[in-house]
Amino acid sequence: MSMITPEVREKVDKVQSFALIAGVIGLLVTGGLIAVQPKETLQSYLISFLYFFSFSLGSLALLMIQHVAGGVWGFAMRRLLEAGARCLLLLAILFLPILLLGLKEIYVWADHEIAQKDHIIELKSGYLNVPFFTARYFIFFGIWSFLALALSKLSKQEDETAEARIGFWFKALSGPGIMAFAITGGLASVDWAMSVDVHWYSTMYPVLFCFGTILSAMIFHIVAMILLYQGPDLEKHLTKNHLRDVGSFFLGFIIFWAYLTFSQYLLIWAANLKEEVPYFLNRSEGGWQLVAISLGLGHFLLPFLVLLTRDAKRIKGNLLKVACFMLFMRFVDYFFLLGPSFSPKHFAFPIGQLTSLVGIGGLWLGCFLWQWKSMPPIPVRDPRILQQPIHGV
Amino acid sequence: MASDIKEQEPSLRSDPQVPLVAPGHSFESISKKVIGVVLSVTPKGWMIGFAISFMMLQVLLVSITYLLYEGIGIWGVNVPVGWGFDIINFVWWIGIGHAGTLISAILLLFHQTWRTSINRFAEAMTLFAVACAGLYPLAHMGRPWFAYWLLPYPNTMQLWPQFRSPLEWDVFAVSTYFTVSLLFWYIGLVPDFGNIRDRAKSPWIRFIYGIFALGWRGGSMHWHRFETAYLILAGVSTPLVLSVHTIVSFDFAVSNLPGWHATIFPPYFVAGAIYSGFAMVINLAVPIRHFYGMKDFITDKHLDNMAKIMLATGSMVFYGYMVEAFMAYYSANPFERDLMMKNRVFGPYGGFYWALVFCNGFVPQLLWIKRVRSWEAALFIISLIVNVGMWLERFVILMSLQRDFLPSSWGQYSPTFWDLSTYFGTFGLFLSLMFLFCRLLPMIAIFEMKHMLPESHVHKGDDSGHDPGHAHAPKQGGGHQ
Repeated sequence: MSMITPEVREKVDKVQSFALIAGVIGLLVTGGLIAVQPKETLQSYLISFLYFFSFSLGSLALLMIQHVAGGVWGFAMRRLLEAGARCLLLLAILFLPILLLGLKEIYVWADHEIAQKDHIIELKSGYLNVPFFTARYFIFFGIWSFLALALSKLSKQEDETAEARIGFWFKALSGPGIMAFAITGGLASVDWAMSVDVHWYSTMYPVLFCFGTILSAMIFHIVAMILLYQGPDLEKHLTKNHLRDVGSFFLGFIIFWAYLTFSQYLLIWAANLKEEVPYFLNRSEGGWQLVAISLGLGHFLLPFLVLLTRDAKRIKGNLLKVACFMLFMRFVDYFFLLGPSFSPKHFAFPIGQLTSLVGIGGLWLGCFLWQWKSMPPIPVRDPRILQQPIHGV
Repeated sequence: MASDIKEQEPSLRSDPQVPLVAPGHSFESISKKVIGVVLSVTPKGWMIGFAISFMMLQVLLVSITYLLYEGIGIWGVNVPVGWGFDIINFVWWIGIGHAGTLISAILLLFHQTWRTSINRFAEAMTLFAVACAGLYPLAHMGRPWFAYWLLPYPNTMQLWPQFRSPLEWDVFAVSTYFTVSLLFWYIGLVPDFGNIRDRAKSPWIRFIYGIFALGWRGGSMHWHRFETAYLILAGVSTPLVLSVHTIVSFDFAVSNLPGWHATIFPPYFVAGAIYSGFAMVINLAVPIRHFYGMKDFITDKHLDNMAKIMLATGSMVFYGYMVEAFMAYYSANPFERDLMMKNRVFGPYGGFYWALVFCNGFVPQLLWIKRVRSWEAALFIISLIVNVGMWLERFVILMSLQRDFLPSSWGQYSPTFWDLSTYFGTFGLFLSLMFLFCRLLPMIAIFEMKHMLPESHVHKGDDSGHDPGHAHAPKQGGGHQ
């Protein structure tokens, strides 16, 4: 019984091949650029990596959240989330260029000569050192891959056997898994992103980063659901009420993102401390201020106003447009997260940014579609198959 | 296919079909049960409980009278700890109120039908908790009769509030919060006031409740307007859940002080507020279930759901502690590191820090176990511990003041008798108001409970995508007054 219609399958196959080819070419070009201008290219590579990484880690988080919290939205999205989470294994490999080639280019603390002269880096060296950083990379990806694979394996078993204990194991894995996600995701944000500005720190950062991955994944899977759920078998799991539910999450998440981002900004701006405020000074000059404004308008105000209306949430075409636009804005957010740290007070968009986006993005998308096709698109033995979204007060 | 899946399904899979009202109830029996509490003779247990609470309230009145006579010198606040019990208890009480707003607004917007039986008294709890909280900043002013100076109004004194201060933002945040919560609570009560008026036998009772019922007749236009107003207020209340405690967190975080100036404070305070609020709802729901025989309406499923929210928010709070501790190390800032190690963890108030970790870090983790969530007594005790933990959290944060940048200005803090008596007295205020509420108002939203009955869902399964703003929800209930 195939729920995916032949037309959709054909299109998915085409997109998958195209994405994989584009990905390989993109990575080859990026590799060439690394040989020419290693610093800029590897720095751009990190930004692109984080952007696509957010889809996968966020998928894992949402997958675990829906197992614990229930909700019909999670049922409709579950197989997409599982496929997205399994791509973490690909991302573990895609991180290797940073680990093997880029540490000194990206992270000041990894350069012994500079680190020895800097008292603050010295005080942090118990945590920020290459062997421990590498060990943490293995631990993080080990935990995430274990969770992604174990939940997928259970899902497969559920399809085959409908054994009574599977429901229990989903929850038993997901509950502690969410905690593990928060801790490892938070530490990964410090390792990979925050330590770029080695003197700077903000306690909000891990929270904002972890939440950012969830936001990215939610947006990506809204797009994926609308494009992939075609044909009678799948469309009945994506009614207007389903769309409205995920649309409401979308709206809520955007508001929450703005809340976290603004709180962090306000507190650092108001305190005006010399160890904190340079982070925002670097982001408010030389063209970066325009990126900041575009984030305020495009990542919050515009989608907020549009999504307030009911039709933007319930009509597929409308929601798809908003979500696609927001996929772009998510990239702008990641670009703004690290771009000004690499090029303070001077806007820069290196060519490696584009090639690495195509490279990592192509491979990731190809891998995602391949994984999505590998299992039935709807978990038919999930008890939520009998439910419809509850609408009404 | 669908049917055999259903048979194979284990009971552990999420199943929202668990009834939220015990079987055997009808529209009539719900009205009778809830309104019966209001219209019946005052029970003896209530008299005793109210008398004790009222005596506790007198402690508050004496404490405040002496405070106004003598000034805030009677409290333990000093230099460098300029804020003491007053702000700790202000934040503690405000936080407790948050569960009410979350239940009324956010759970309504998220279609969480289980909120129905607990929303009314949780909203009442919010109002009374905010009333207790509001006393502290007023009292701390020293001259509360000049409280209106905090408002920006044209005057001949050349006086204008300092809008850069988060304390000024608090004035607006808390007063808006109280106003909207009161409106929301009152609007929700209107149909039930009409119901009581129609059932009351005494003309006086009918008259008094009739005034508050605002001429409610239960016509379809009334319901339509009621639902529209209720949804709008839910929308207005939703940002308040975040904004109030965010601004309370700014009271600390805007100061350039290690231990206070942390960017994580806003979300972590909000999570803490919801966490302590749900603990208080459980602390109130358990006795109400027993004394008024409301187990049919406040079911084990409700307690289970509240325990889950407590577990989630409690874990977020604990995550906040971990991030703070980690960043203190990671910052490599000597003041941050010393604050964490020499003040909090191993400082003169270290015992409080470890008690906090125990109460908020370890105890709520017991809620992972299903048996604990369904064991009423355990839930009650855990909720008490959580409330102690959340008090300790604010105390630990406050004690950052005790050692600032200059060792020569370090000091100690201990509350005086009057600090303790004021805090004790606010419990009197809170409980007295709660007792009055239980006696005089329907503690469960009758018309919303009726919607939970199967006969309210004559066209369930309709996937036509109707608008919740015009949902068929409570209309049936209204017709059966």
